[in-house]
Amino acid sequence: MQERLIDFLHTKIEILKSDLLSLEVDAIVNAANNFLRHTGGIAAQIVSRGGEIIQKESSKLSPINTGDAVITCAGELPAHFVIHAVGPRMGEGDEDNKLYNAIVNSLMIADQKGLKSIAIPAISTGIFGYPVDSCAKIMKKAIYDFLNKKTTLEKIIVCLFEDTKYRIFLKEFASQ
Amino acid sequence: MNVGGYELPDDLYYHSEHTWLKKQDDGNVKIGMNQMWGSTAGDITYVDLPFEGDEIKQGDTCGKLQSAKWIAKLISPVSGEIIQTNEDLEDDATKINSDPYGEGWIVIIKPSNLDEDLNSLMQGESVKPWMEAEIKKSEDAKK
Repeated sequence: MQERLIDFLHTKIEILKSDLLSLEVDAIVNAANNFLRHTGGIAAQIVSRGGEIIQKESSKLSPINTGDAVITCAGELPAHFVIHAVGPRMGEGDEDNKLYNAIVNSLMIADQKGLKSIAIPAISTGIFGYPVDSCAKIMKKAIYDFLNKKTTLEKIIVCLFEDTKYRIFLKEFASQ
Repeated sequence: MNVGGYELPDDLYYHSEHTWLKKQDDGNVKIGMNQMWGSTAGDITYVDLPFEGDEIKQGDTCGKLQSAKWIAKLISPVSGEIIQTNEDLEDDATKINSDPYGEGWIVIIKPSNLDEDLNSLMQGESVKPWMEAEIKKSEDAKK
């Protein structure tokens, strides 16, 4: 999947219905919790398929605040790095800002590392209960705001596994 | 001039980031994106334009252009002040695709250093080899 890019179009944004863990990108974003204990949801799969090394590196960096992100290796996964971002739990307050920060901080870490491609899932929309349509709106705003400045990122993939989420994101990104 | 099926009017100046510039009689310059760029990007869905009065330098990003899959930057080919933006694009940004050198213009700039800036832009014979290379780059990326 190492696609060549057209440099004068600057940054490609792709809404993809796929398995995040199979993507050959520089970094995938993990929807993590504050303690970076990857025991449920996509986080557990990341460790199960990538290896315990991801949990070991994460534990050294934990805990982190909601809205923050850290980076570790990706073990045996096809991606080179995993960026662990902590999104909000619905009901804890200030969820929109926290989600926005989690996305922008993930993009910033990728940029600081000089990465060219990143794939982000619908953070907080699983067991954290954040509404999918609001997540799509905030994801779009965070990515577009981030792209106001110069970045090494040439490709940003928003990766959804479930068809219903994929359709909601597709609709949001296709609209003005 | 036509290169690889793309129109590149001879009276325009071209920047390597695919903006074109047209000198106007009043001394200001009109800016847009060339036809090959619009065709490669696909239909533009949204433009984020600068504000009138903004001062910009040659090579600065002065706006963003979004298609379904790409976010590209509008790179100014000259230094100067933005004196007008094409507000019609807010209703129909695909004019950048359908009429790139006419109704699809994007901004008008009052240039502050025009003679020097024009020296670094392409015009006439220099446009062809550059455009051929850009077309090849775009085709290679699709392979």
